[in-house]
Amino acid sequence: MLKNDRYDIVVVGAGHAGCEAALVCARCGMKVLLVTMDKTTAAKMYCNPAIGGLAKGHLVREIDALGGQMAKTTDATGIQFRMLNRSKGPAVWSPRAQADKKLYSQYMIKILESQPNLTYAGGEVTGVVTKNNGITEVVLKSGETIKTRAVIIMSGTFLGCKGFRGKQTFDVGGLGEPPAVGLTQSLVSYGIRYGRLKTGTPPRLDGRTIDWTKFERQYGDPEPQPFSFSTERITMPQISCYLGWTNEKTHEILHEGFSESPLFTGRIKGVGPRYCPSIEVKIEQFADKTRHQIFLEPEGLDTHWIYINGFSTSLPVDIQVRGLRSIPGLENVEVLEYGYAVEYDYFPPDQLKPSLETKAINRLFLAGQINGTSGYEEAAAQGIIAGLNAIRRLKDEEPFILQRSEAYIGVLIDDLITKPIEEPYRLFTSRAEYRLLLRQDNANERLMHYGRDFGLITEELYDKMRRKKTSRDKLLEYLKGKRVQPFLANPILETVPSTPLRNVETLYKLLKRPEISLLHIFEIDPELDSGNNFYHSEAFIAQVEMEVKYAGYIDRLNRQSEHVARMENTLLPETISYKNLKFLSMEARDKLQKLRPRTLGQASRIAGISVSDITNLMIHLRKHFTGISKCST
Amino acid sequence: MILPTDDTIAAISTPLFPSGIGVIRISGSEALSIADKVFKGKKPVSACSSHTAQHGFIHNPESNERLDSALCLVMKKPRTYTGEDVVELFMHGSPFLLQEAIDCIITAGARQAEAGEFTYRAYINGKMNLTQAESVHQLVRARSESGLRNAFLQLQGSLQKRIIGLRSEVLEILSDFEAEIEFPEEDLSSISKEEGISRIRSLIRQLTDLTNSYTIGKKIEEGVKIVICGPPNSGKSTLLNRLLNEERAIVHEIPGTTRDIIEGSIIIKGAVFRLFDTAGIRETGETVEEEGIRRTYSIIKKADLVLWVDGITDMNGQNEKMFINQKERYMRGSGDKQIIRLLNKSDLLNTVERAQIQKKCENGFHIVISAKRGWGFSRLRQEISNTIESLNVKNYEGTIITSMRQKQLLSSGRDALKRAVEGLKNNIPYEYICMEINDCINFLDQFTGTKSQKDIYEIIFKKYCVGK
Repeated sequence: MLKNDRYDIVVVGAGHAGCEAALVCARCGMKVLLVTMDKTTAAKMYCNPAIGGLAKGHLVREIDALGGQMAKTTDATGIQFRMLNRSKGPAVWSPRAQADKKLYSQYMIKILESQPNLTYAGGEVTGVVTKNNGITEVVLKSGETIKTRAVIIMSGTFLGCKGFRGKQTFDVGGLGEPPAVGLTQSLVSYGIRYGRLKTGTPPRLDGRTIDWTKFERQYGDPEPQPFSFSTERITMPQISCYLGWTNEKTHEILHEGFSESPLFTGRIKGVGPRYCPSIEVKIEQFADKTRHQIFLEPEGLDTHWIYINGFSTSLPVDIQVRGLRSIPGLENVEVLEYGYAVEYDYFPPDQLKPSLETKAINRLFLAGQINGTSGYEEAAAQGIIAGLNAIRRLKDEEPFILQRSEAYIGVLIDDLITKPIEEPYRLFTSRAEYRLLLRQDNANERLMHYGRDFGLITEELYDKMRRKKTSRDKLLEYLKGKRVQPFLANPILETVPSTPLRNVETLYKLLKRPEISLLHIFEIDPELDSGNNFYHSEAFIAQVEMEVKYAGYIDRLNRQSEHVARMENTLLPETISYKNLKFLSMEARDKLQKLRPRTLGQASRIAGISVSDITNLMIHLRKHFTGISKCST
Repeated sequence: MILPTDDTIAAISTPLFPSGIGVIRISGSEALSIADKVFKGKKPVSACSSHTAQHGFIHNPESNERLDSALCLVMKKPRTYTGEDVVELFMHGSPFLLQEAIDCIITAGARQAEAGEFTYRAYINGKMNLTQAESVHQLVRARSESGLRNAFLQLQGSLQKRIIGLRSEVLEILSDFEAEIEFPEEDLSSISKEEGISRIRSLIRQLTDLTNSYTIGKKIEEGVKIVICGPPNSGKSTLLNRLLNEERAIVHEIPGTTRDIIEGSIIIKGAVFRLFDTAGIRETGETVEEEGIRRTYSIIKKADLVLWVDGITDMNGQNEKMFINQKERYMRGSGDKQIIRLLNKSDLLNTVERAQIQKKCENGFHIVISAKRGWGFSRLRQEISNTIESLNVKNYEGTIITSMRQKQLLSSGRDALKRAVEGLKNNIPYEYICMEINDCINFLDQFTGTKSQKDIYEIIFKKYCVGK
């Protein structure tokens, strides 16, 4: 079927990364083949039925601003939306949604199948073929070969995937699917290193056998905020999740199975994520805790499947059932699918360029969990970047690289290529030096211009963003210029309460007071509140307040980022040989020679490279490479 | 400071006092060939094997005039102080000769080294880390035993260790705040506002102590300033001379600056004290010599310790009162400066009178001395040396900072933490607080010249049970 076709780009794997990559390439006019093992499950949520959360929610917004799909699909199939961290400042607010797993996947398939230039097909890629160090073909398990100019591999945890539950070991690729074999060996034969990582998943329960009254109900936000800047309103019916706790009895039962746990007996060699430990690891590490929180999350609207978050386990099945049934409300629970651990191959991402192209093979890109990350959002973010860069590579254009100071995606990819993977990599807001600038609500202002340049964002949407920004700038301008008389302000200040004015004061200064909100300002100056629809949007008000109240911090960060940018963007010459630079430590010479970072900034983040190594390198560059170029991006 | 590192530098490496020998150091890729232009020995310098010395003569390369006989020590890279080719010329220690020789070397193609530049190159060439380099700089300049000891402590990295320890405490607090931000669904209650404030304040105190240690570090390194003052003819100059002679100190006059202030340095128990005599303050009746007072004021302001000398024979009732008033007037506005009051000229009293006055002074207000005879000086020396300890208000666990750069970085770090406390008090959200704490960590990293090794996630995941 595919044999005689020739593609611009072959995307291997239709997970969260694969869908973004394939769509972005096809939308930009490339002839794309998206090949996946099971055509009926695109963008499947193999673990928890949720999108977003801290930092991850930011990623989804950024993907959306670049013209990606994840936010739109979430909005269309999300069944509970919550803005996390509302008690803190807006920079760390983060949207999160429960999605209907089945609908999410079906919606994505519909999008894929209706996308011109995109062929969505079933099949297993077992190898790549190169000529002159560049991709020419992919090989399918059936023996077919497909000609292509570029390949993006995003096969998730499917490579060399092995499941563990108690003493049992089994082949698995997600729930009940065959593992991918062969591709690892093919890449290794080109000198690409691989490693093993571990992750796990909790049991799935039958909702009809749960006594819901024993759990605390957790509602979504009364007014669900969409993920996508293009979504007007969430129309899906909204559900609740439920909160509960394990108890000492549970821990006692689970403890019985520890001797058979593949984690504790050393049968699992791969490293698991510290931020998502299994219930047995929690019990072992925090022995003084008498209970652990669990969350019951419905996997969809018309299904009885319930995901039990916080209860990831690979203990034997009988222990799992008994442990669960010791939890009040789960006394009679039926388990539909048992928890298990998986170990899988990944390719240490220090073998990638910032464009996600491999250093070893030209026009081969890797993205998603095979780069050692975890999470649907991290995968999708890499997917869209790999897709965009594959296009640019074929057009012989400069790679598209986001800076750490402009996007979480920039932080994610820069971390991947400079820092060693010690566990499945998850994004945190604290990984971003410029966290206060990288808010979820301003992702469009930060990145939408790129999306528009790629032709992935409509002029209409872009204009809407511009209008909103102009509106805000104008309001700020007005607040700075408008002075208010004490007799006008004081009656309102009294009600807050806030210290009354003695002299005329600008509205801007008033708004700087911690206890004063923009709504108070509207009261003080009623003229202001008329005629602008934005003034009634909660998000808009929050943005203005933040820009006024925390202007000092923002200014400082902006200055820091400008200061850093100079070093950050100093390109390291491709011809430089680090081996003979005696002023560098041995470790620095080795690491730089091996990793060959693109910029001085990247070099500075490589573990084991000291401040003095960087200073010396800078001195050396100044002396021997005059007129060093700066990156354009 | 980014100095070029590809040229050859030279400097006189010994102090410019007439002394037995003086040493000139040349370092850089051209060190050997430049030495060849000024030094003539049996064989060319560039033909000598590394770490050997030979006798020869220094010539002016232009006039070919012989300046001095010298010993030439050749050390080839990389096993040298700077990591570059180094030549050291041992000459006679005449400042004039040494200056002439360095001029010749510069004519021959070397560049006059900036202060600390040899050490800078040692650092650039990976011979030492930043803190070590600073310590070496101090070591070179240290003029006293305790200065030396402090410099050695730094070399051994005790300061580095202390800062790394502080950094990990700051990191721990940061982790607690970050855990609150990153895991909002897990109800960790990792740190309350109040707890945050109190923990950060404790760090501010530690940083303040270390910052303040610069006053001590600086004093130990530069010497404690002692000003001798008092009414005319109370024997100040005799006291100065006696102190200088007794201690066999380096005596020198600083000409030109202030005509009538004499400076000398003494070493007591390994610490340097610099003496200033305010000779010539005279009051005739009510007329005050304005200029003298002004000068004395200004010098007292800079002093760490004042020796106030009164003549014992002037201490009859009326005079005593007048002199006390006079002292008060001079000391006014000089802060809580330490004063040692001396009653001089005890040699003019007979044994009985001396015993009486001794007794009267036992409650510690005065020390009875005779500058002429040297009586009471062991007690005086003890009191002077005690001032070092009383300057050293806290123990600092033996670590003292000794450079302005270090002081600036630590106070910047402290200021960031102060802003964090202010922010917490004003209910500023945690992510802004984290920005301040991060700033502090950056300053501490600049201090040690290293980068973070330990990440906050390691701390968070060890401390808190997360994992939804």
